[in-house]
Amino acid sequence: MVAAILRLRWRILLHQFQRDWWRLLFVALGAVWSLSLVPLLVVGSATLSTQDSEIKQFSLIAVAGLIGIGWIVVPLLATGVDDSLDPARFAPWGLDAKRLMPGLGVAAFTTVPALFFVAVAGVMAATWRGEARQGPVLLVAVCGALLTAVAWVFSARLATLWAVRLLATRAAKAVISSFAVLTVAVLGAIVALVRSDGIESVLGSEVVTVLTQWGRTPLGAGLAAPFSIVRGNEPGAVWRLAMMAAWVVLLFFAWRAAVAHVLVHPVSRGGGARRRRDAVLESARRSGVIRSRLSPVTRAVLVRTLRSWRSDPRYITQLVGAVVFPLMMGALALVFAGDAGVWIAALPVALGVTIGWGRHNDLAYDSSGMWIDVVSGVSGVDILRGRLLGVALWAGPAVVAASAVAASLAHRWDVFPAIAATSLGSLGVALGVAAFTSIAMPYRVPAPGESPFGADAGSIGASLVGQLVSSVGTGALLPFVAAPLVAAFVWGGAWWAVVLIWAPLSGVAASWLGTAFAGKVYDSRTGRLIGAVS
Amino acid sequence: MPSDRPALGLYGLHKRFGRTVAVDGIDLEIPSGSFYGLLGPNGAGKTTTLSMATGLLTPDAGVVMVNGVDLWAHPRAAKPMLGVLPDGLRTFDRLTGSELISYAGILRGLDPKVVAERKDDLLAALDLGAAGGTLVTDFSAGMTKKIGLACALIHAPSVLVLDEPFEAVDPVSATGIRTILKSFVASGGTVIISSHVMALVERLCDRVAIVGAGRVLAEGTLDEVRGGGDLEARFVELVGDTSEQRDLTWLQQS
Repeated sequence: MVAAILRLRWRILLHQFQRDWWRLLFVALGAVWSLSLVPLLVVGSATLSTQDSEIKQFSLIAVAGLIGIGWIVVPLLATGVDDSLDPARFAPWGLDAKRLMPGLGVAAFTTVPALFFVAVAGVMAATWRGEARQGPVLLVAVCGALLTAVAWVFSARLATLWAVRLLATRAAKAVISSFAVLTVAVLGAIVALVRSDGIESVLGSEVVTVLTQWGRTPLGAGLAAPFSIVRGNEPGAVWRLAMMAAWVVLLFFAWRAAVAHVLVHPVSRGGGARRRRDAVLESARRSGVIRSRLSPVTRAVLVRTLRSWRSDPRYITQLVGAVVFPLMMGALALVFAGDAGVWIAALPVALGVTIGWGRHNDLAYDSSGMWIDVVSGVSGVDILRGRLLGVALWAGPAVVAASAVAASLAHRWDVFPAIAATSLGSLGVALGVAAFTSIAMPYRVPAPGESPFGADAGSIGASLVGQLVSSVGTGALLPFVAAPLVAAFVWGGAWWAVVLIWAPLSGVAASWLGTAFAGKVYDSRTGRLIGAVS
Repeated sequence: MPSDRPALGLYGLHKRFGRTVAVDGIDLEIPSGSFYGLLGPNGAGKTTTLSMATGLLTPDAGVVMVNGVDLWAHPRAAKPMLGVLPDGLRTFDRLTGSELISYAGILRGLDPKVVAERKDDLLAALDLGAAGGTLVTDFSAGMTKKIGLACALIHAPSVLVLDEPFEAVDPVSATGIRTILKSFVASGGTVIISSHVMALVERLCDRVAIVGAGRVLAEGTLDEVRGGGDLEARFVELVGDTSEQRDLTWLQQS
């Protein structure tokens, strides 16, 4: 079965490469990029190998811990993961998890990231060269590093399957909210600690304590084990390696249990929810100054877009991803750059950009029923504005709230209006650019009910083009919105007033013009769009 | 009253996907007021043809006329005359069945009051009353088909293009749908269905076209196409060849 699954994987890849040669190019580019990092890693390892063994230990534990967290978090926050061996696809064949697992386990190590990080683990093990008792130390280092690498790969697969299962339940929102609150609380505590004690003090005390504890957990024990040998504490190395081995076995069986569940539990997509209200009709009946300015089509699209943001796992994962990355960047900026105003202002502006940029493939996520829009012959502008408002209604308050947090952290409530205005402007610009790229360069995404963390392997090249154009477009327009804020920080005076007027206006104009232009493109491409995304 | 103009005219339609020619010059005129069956084996190009005929897929070449209006040149004028049920496409599955029908009605420019009345009628007529409050994502395949049909009917179009409308639909609901469609044709409307089920086509349609390899192999009234025999035999004669059917002896149980 192992050989059959590996052959299947290679066959799928081969067919994809034969159909679209450029996919091979992207895989090759990924491999070349990975290889280009090897000299850097080797030099880093060589430098570290000459350091004191305690520094060596803490450095390796920190790197291993961060990579371990990355292997769990990145597949959950970033779509585009190759799902060609999604266990749910084996469900019709009547195979049980026990027969599948050896093949899936081996196949998990045939991806470029897995091979690269196994090599990284090897380089990390080699850092322990040059110690006394070279033989035992290196043997333990290699065993510990390989067990750690296996744990990285297994934990990623398990986390994805558990997340898919969670997102199909009604408890998903509560769990995601709890994680978000926990993440913000932890980041907040770290920032507060660094700001009160200073980075050097924290590195010398709290970080050492955390890393020491990580060295006793599966996150870092594999890399900490050689240090025990160096210190003559053989039992310390033995229990760490034993714990890592047990952890790998535990992950494997948990993964197997998750696969077994997936095989007999197709995703229950709606969770059995029922609604008495017809929100579409209610929205059409309501009147009001703002509503009356929107076309009935835009209002109807707005209702279903808001529903998607609340209940579709694919949208929820994107929302979490769009918010978490800038928060993490902001926390890092606060830790290392202190409370310099410009860094504080960058956080909510970055949030606006990432949320807007994230909509660069909006059409594909919203395409499941696009045929109704197309056969109805409605204007593309009306459709796109409904979707735009569906994002703006939650993203606008989110960037304003982030601006308030930033102003509060900086103790600069005087700059809050300017930061909020610029953040809204950056959101508008990014949404305007994204509206165009989503129509001009759409690519396939997981369909409703499929794993929201997967991607059609064929879409990877197209996604890179879409992301690149979106990034360049947003990057080119952003200075027009953000420049007055920078000028206000530098020169002050009337610039603060300019920001308040210019930034929101330019954001609204960019998003409105972006959707108007994209709507024209939509109208001219309706007969091609469904084929491009389904 | 049916008009002299074809309800749907397809002229020289071509479509190619890479090296595969899906539709290779289809010409069809579907008379107004007819119940028209489009037949063909898997991969014959039926869905591709109907997609191009309804504005879902751009043809490489050819013209589509809806009641004399060029669909691809004047979509805003032609599309309101069409009611469409595609096959194999998903729908906005986070809406309830009731909301999806309302959504289709609003997009068709109907007044909310009219939408509310017609929606209730359609839910009852298609036996979807209890499913109105359920998210479409939790619908069975047959229910999804029926809710798609409701979306196609909500604006009372003059031409209905239905791709495999009875697929996965239970016999009771199918009877109800047949009654609705027959009544629609009797009142002057035009229905075009694609199907693999010969008995169904013989029972419902007054005209048929058989397509194979992206071309029209036979077209005319039911009797003209049958040529005195039965439709299935004629279909197999035109598109199929079972003479080389392998005998799967290993499948025999005794």
